[in-house]
Amino acid sequence: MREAEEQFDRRRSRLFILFFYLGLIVILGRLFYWQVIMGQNLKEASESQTLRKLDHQGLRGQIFTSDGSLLVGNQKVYELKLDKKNFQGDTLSLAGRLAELVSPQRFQELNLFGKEEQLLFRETLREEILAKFNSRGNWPKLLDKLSLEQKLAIETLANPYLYFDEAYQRFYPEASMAAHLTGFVGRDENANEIGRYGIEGALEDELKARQESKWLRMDALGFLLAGQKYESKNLNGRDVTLTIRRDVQHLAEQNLKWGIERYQADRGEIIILDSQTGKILALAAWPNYQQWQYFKYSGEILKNPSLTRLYEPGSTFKTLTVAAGIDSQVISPNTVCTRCSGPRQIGKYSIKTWNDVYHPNISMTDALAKSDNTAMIFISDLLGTERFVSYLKKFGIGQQIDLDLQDDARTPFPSKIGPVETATISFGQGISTNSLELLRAVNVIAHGGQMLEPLIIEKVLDQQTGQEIVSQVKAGEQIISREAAATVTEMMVEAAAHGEAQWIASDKYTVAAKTGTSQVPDPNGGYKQDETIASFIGFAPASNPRFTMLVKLENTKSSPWAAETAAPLWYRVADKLMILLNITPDK
Amino acid sequence: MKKKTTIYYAILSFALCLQLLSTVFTLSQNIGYGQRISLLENKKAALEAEQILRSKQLAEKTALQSLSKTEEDGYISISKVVVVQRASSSLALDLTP
Repeated sequence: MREAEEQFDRRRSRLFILFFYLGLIVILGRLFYWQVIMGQNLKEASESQTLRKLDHQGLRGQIFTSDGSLLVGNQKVYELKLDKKNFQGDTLSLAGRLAELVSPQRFQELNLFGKEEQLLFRETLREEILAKFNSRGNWPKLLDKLSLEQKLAIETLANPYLYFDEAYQRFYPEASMAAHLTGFVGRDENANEIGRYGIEGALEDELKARQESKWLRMDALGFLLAGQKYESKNLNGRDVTLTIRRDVQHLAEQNLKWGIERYQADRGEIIILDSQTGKILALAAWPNYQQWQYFKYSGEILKNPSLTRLYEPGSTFKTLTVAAGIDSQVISPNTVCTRCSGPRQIGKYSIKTWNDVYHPNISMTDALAKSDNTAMIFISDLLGTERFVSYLKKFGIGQQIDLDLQDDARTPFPSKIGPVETATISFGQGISTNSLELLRAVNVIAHGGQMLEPLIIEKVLDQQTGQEIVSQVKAGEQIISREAAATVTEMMVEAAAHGEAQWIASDKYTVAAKTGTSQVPDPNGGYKQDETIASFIGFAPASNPRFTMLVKLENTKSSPWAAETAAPLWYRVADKLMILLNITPDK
Repeated sequence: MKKKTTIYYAILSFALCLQLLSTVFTLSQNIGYGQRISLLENKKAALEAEQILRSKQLAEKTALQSLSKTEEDGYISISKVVVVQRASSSLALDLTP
């Protein structure tokens, strides 16, 4: 009996062990299933609940003038969107109300002051909004680029189906000031922002906003879980400070506009350099454009004409011919021209003076003042083609200006220079250059014969590291001797005081300058009969040059002569510049 | 023996309480950490937006383009230059040290 009980107990315990191991196997099987087979899925499910990808993007770098004023910044704008799926209401009246609220600011932006044009604009805007109601998608964008004021005005409607998205866009507090220098922000083929032209184009890598994506573990409420390294970086693009001064740029632009209207010119430029550093203090060009409406302008207007628009400089170029002659000592200011009694016959060409008046035995100083073409040929004869060309190349004619602007382009130097070309180049025809190249060359004389490369970037500030990269003045080769530069300066002072533009010369400060009225090549050969480019280039005060300035006006209708157009404009700007730059008059 | 058991359980209870307090404190720190970061990030974003808005308003108010529309051009060209020197007799300069 006892034995039977023991046997039963043993069976029971075996059965228990069997079930225990079976249970264990089942548990192990389930563990294997969840941890090994389903492990990856569970991990992913867990991560999808806790891991969050945080995308951060900074703002595009800003552009400042050298005096610290904001030239191009960023502003928050709003996009108005509609919950079309749930919208209940009268679309017609909502579109009308929105157009009414948004219009006043748009009138100011677009300079719409007439009642009729305002009405027309409002009606067009209403139609546009209505069209967007009917566009595809459940969340149509009704309006974009709204300011904070416009957003607040729309919010007064308290319409639950309207909501706003935020974005940043470029902001120009000085309107279109220095547009040819700043460039603008456009879109690439993928609709991403990209800088075009000027600084925006050339320094795209510096200016563009940085992006950063981070995966972080969050709790159920969406807060960051502890134990993770969290770093908040400044992702803004680098800020760029230009060498231009806001007041000087404004002065140049206002006066250029005045000059264009006064002398009825098609185009114009005013460029002002600091004579001692090569820093560009102002660069104004007309026609100008509005950076925020760049798509309305042709490519020709968007390019910086001071770099891209080649022209034959005419008589302003004579300063370089004289400088080469003086430095190589083939002439002195008192050298007499022995071949200036009549037109010069070179090959089949007869070269005359601008007014067909000739001065036998004219001195070189007078020749520059009277802008005598035959005297310039006389100098180039004495120099010889090779030496003359070598001087011009040293003056940087045909040499690319290494400026941080996207429009920076090489200007070709004539490949074949024979006797006729040497003669015409000596008085600035038959050779093309751009305005900045010519200004750089003439500034060599103002800077004691030494080349200075023009600068447009004052400094670049990296906001992430706080590092500031300041541009260094790029002093180059001594092109002509200091003595030769001083002599040419004196000759240019004589040219300004007793030349064609003598009646407008300043009695307060000395100016070393030269007029230039050049002909415009005709694509069909020869030169256009009814078109000239009037320019005036020089520096002041001649005793201690502080600024070198070029004024250029194309196709002036009031008078073709630079002495009656570009020169008065030059003095008009210079008078105010003397005050802005705090220059003591030297007369 | 009974006294030893009491001491043992007292120490054990004390250690457990400490562990409990430490755990609650640590976890509350963890929860607070995420909230603090989030709060600071929001504050930073608001301050940055405010700074951009202020700098925009300042730039707009001091812009030469808009000022020139409202201000008169009061510039008058210098007609006669007077160079002031220390030796000028017309000036009542006290040159004594």
